[in-house]
Amino acid sequence: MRDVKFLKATSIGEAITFLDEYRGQAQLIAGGTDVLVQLREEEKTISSPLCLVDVFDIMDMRAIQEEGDLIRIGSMVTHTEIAESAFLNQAVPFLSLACSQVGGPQIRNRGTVGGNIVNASPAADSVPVLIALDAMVHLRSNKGKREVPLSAFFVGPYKTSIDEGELLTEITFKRLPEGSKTNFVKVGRRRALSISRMNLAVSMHCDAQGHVDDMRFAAGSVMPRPRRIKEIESLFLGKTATPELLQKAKEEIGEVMVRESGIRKSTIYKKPVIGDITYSAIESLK
Amino acid sequence: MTDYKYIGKRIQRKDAKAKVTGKALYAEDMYFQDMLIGKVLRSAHPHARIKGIDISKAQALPGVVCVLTAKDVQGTNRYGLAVSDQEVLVEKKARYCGDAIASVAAETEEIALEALRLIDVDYEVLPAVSSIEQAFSPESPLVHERLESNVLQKTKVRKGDADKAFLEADIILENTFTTQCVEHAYMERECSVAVCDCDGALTVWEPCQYPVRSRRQIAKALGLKFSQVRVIQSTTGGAFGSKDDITTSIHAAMLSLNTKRPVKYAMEREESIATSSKRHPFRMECKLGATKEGKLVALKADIFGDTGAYSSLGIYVVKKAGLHISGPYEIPNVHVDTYTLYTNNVMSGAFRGFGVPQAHVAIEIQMDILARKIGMSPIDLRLLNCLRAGTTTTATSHCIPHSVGIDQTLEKVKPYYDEWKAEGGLSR
Amino acid sequence: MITIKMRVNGKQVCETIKDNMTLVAFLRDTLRLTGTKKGCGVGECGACTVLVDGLAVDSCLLLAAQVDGKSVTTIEGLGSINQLDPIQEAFVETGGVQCGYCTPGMVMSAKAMLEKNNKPSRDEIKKALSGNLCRCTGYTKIVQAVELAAEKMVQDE
Repeated sequence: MRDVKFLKATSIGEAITFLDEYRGQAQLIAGGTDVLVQLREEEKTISSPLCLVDVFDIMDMRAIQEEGDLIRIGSMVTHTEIAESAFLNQAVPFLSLACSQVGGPQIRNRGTVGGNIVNASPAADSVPVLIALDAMVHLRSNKGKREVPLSAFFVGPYKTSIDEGELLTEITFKRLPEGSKTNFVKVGRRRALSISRMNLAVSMHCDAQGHVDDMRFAAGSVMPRPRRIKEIESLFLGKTATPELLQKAKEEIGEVMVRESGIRKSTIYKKPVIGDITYSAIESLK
Repeated sequence: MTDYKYIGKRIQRKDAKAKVTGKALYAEDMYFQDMLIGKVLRSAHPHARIKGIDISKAQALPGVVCVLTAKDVQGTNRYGLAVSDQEVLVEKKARYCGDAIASVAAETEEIALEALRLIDVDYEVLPAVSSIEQAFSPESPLVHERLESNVLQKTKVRKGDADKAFLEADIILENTFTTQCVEHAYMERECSVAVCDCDGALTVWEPCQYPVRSRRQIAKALGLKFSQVRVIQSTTGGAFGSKDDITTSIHAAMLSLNTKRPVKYAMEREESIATSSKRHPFRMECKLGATKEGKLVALKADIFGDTGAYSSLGIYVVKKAGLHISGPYEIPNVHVDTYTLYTNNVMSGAFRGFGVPQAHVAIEIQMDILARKIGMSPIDLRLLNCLRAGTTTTATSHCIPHSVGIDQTLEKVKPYYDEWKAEGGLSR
Repeated sequence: MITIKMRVNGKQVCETIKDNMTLVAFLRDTLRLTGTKKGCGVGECGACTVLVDGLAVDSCLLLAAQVDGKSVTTIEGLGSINQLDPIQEAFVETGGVQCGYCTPGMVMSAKAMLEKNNKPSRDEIKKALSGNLCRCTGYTKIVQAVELAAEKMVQDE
C-alpha cells in the first residue's frame, strides 16, 4: 500500500484549495472503491508523495435536483442513491437500473456516479446511460467553472480531459420526452458483482402514430470510447420498431463494434451476443 | 424408518455460535506481545537457477529483524506430503513461480514487504516445462534431476482383455478430454502464527487438515525433534484439500526459531493463488466399446495429470482417477494407464473429489455420446450398465454385496427426465 | 499520521494512525475487533463487510480516515454468545455456517437489509447478499437463515 497524506474536504471551495495547494501530488478520492484497489497495488517505494483529497462528504455534491426540464445529479451521489431514488426511477429508469447493477451492495453504497465517470473505465455501467442522455459534466477549479459534454470528456480508456486542479461537481441532462421507454442491459462473467463485458443503454419515444421520434442508443465496454450510436438510432427514427428493423439493428451493432474495436479473440463471442442483447433491449421497449 | 440419533436430524454445529459472533479464532486473529510479521519472497520465474541472493540491503532496513535463505535452514530443508520434493527455501533452482526464495521477519507488514523488494536475486532463467505434452518431450528439461524423466508415477489398471473385447464391440468411441487447473479459493487466506519458547520448542497455529503430518514435516525440514514442535489447528476458513499441504506454517516456524519472537505470516490473496496447490489439469485419451444394445464391453484409457512442480498428493490423485474412469458402471474389460507428470506449472494436489471429478468428465460425456449414437435414453443406458448389488468393481473386481444407490437414484430421476424430454428437452 | 474519532459499536474511539490504514486493518489490528475478516483486500468477497452509518460497505475498500466522524457497526456490535442477535440465531439454527469465514460479512449484509426491509423476498435477500462470497455452502442455507431471521425479527416487534 502506497504511503499517503489524507485530507478531508468539507466544501467545494476547500477541495479546490487542497487541489491547488498540493498541485502535482493531489489525487481525488470519492467512495474509494477504485482508488483503494489502485493504492494497494502501488508500491510503498514510489517516491513521489501522494495526497488524497476526500470529497465524498461534500454536501453540495450529494443532491439530486430537478430544475424545469433539467435534472442535476451531484457527483458524490452513490449508485445506491440513484438506484433507490423514486424520482430518478420515474424520470430516467434506465439510469437507476444501470446503477443497481454496479458491483454489489457494498460497492454501490460507496461508489459514486462522479467517481464512475472520472475513473473512465470502459466498463462503467452508468456511462452508456448518461451518454444516451447527452449529459454534461460540470467542472470547477480555481480558474472557474466549465461544462463539457460527457461524450467529449472521455479521451480514451481510463483517460478523461479533466485538468489538474479540477473537480467534477455535478452531472446534468435534460428529461426524456414524456412517455419514453428505456432499458439497460449488461453482460458480465457472473450475475452479481461483475464487471461488464458488454453493456448498453436505450431509450425510445414514439409519436401518436407509433413512429419513433426520439431514439437514443449507447454501448459501453465494446467501444474504445462510449458514444451514441447514430447508426442504430437512425434505423428507427420515423419508423415503427418491426422485427425486421430489430434484425437489422442486431447485425449493425456487431459491424459497428468490429469497425471501432477491431477483430479480437473475443469477437466470435461478443458479436452475436451484442447483437442479441441489442435486439432484446429494443424489443422490450414496445 | 429407524429413528436415528443424528441421521435426519438438524444438528447444531459446535462452533456455530463462536462463528456467528466473530469470536472464533482463526490464525490471523491471534496477536502476541512482540509479534513480528513474516513475509516470503517468491520466485520471479517458473524455472530458474539461483546463482546468488543478496540480502544485505534488506537486512540493513530499520525494522527488519531477520532475513533467511536456504543457507539458514538447519534441517533437511525438504518436505512434501507424498514425496519430500519441496524445499522450505530454494537452494539451487526454482521450479515454479510460487517457490520460496527468502523469508523476512520485521516489526510491521510494510517493512517486511519493503524488505522483500530489497532482496536481489540473480536468476539464470531456464526453459520451462509448461504442459503435459512438453513434460513428455525428450527436448524438455527435467523439472527434478533426481528422476530420469518428468514422469513421477505410472500405474496400470487391468481387468479382462480389453483388446480382445474391442474386436467384438459394435460401437467404439475414441475421444480425448482435457480439464483445467482449478483454484480452491477458500475464503480464509493461508496464515500461521509460530511462537518459539526459550528452549527452542515451537508452537504453531495454522489452518490445516492434518496437524500431525504438518508437525512431522516441520520438525524434519527445520532440524527439530518431533517433540519440539507442536502444531495446533486453528479454526480453518475452508481448505477443500489444499490446506493438506504445508502453506505458511513452515516459514512462520523458521522465522520464529531464528528471532525467538512470535511471528505471524499471512498470505495476501494474490500470493495464495500463486502458490497454493490446485486441482490437477488432466488429459484423458479414452476409448469405450459397447454392443449396439448399449452394454459396455471394454474401456481403454490413458490419463495424464499435471502435478506441477511438486508432487503434493499428485501421485494418489491421478492414480485414483484411473480407478474411477470406468465410472459407476460395470465394464468387464478395462485397460487404464495413469501418469503423474512434473511441470513448471503451479503445484496440484488434493481438491474435493481427489481426481474423480476429472475422470467423470470423460466417462459421463462418453456415455452421453454413446446414448445419442445408439438412439437410447441416457438414463436407460446408465441403468443398463450401472453397478448394483452383485456386480463387480473395476479396480479390485470386488463383488459389491449391497446396493450402490445409483440404480435407485436413476429410477427416481427417470420420470422427471422423461417429462422434460417430452416437453422438448434442450430444444425447448 | 492522522487522528480520527468515530463511534464503533456504540463506543467513541479516538486513535492516531497512519493515513493509509484501511478500515479493516484499523478494526482488526488497532481495535482488535477480529470478527471482521479480510478475504481478498479488493472488494470482491465481502468478508470484511461492516456497517458505516447503517450502510453495508467493504472495510478493505475504505481508509479508516474516510470514516472519521461516522458510526461503524461490526459483528461484535450485534449479539454476544450468550445473547445472540436474531440474525445470528437464525444462522446457527439453519446451519448457514460452515467454515465461518464469510459468516460475519454475511450477517452484516443481512443486518443492513433487514433494518430497511423486514419482509424481504427471496430475490431481495439474494441481491442483498450478492456482494458476499461463500465457498462452502452453496448459499441455500444462508438464504434460508436470512428468511428465518426476518420472521424472528417480525415476531420480536
